[in-house]
Amino acid sequence: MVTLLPVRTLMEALTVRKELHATILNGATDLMIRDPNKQTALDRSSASIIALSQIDELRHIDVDERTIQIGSAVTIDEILRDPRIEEIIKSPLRSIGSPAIRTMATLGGNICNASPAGDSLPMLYALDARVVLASADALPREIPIAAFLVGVRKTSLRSDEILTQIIIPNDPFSAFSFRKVGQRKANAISKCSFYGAVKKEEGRVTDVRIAFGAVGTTVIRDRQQELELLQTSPPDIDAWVESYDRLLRPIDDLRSTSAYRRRVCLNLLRDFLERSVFP
Amino acid sequence: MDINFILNGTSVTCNADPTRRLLDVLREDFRLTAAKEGCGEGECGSCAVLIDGRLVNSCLLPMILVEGRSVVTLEGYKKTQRFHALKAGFQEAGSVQCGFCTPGFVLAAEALLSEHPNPTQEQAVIAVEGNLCRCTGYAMIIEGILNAAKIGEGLW
Repeated sequence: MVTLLPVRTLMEALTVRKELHATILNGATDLMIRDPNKQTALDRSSASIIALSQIDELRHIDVDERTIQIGSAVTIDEILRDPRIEEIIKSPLRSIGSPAIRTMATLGGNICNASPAGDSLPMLYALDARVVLASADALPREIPIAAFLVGVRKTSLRSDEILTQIIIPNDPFSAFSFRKVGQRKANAISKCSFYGAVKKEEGRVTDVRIAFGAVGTTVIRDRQQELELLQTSPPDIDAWVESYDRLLRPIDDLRSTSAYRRRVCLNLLRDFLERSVFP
Repeated sequence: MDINFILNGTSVTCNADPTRRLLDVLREDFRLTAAKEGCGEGECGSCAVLIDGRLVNSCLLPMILVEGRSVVTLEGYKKTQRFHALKAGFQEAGSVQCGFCTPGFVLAAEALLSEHPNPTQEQAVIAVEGNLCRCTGYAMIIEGILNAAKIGEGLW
């Protein structure tokens, strides 16, 4: 039987985390799924758990001119209901699970679960999101999402740390596109996904962000490539698509095939370039 | 550990392992069997109940996250006028076939109507996107929900 350690403040949670390396429970929608032996990830992990949902410090959304700061225990549903947050962030979040899942599931959980198919992740990569990792002994460290997610189900979270906040730059983009490809609309784990965003000034493209989900161990995004492509003039859509063909690393698994994922991702990229970037 | 919560309007305490599923506590400890275990992994919505008015899958909800919150199951919801509007709407459209999924659909409809008393067809479809009906009566269920919104006008 697992022991629940009652914590009401972040400091209490960090102390317990440091001393017992307690497993962190957030919305529980991934951790409560049972394996064929009727065991959940909680049953298989450390004997002590801490629940973040009652820690008020982790339940805020703060928006100012520069950033959007989302506490790690804020639910997906709460983000979707917040009128200050734009569709460019909300769109991928609407594709997570179903209404009943989104009531409990959190953005912090979607990140820490570190699935290659996490539906919030391409957006967070593309918008240069950062995560804040707190610990009892040191100052919080703030790192880019791409440095936090290091592999399939692997993060750089240390055993004494808790992810407390997600920070997304409040940057104005002219257009974005999020496309999730799954077996059905709700409750599907993505076969692959695409997220693109573009900035234009007086009709000229000044920035572009391109990210792919579920075609690599983590999200595929390459800033260098984006910058190089922006400098080629006149724009050559075929060359853009071809350059991303080399970056994708899809696999065959029970949800889809490598060839299908590659083809669909490149088609979604082409569609974004033709419709939104160089219409 | 002791977990205190409100169940269908009444304060209750149950002694449970903090990771025990709300679904099991409802069915085994309280003998409330409207919430059903279909898939047991949040895919089908047959175990859906309301927590503080919002839809959740009780198969994925450890008791620790229920502490201090208000849970409504179909047994409690049946006593409301809103339920009777939904019942009439479902009857009119023939929304119930085998009935296994129906408690979940009714509570998903309540979660929708409490927020959008006059939902569009698209809003109704999204509201029940996490509920599966293996008799496949989706068109009738959506129609039943839209009927209920008219029958129960002013209740939500």
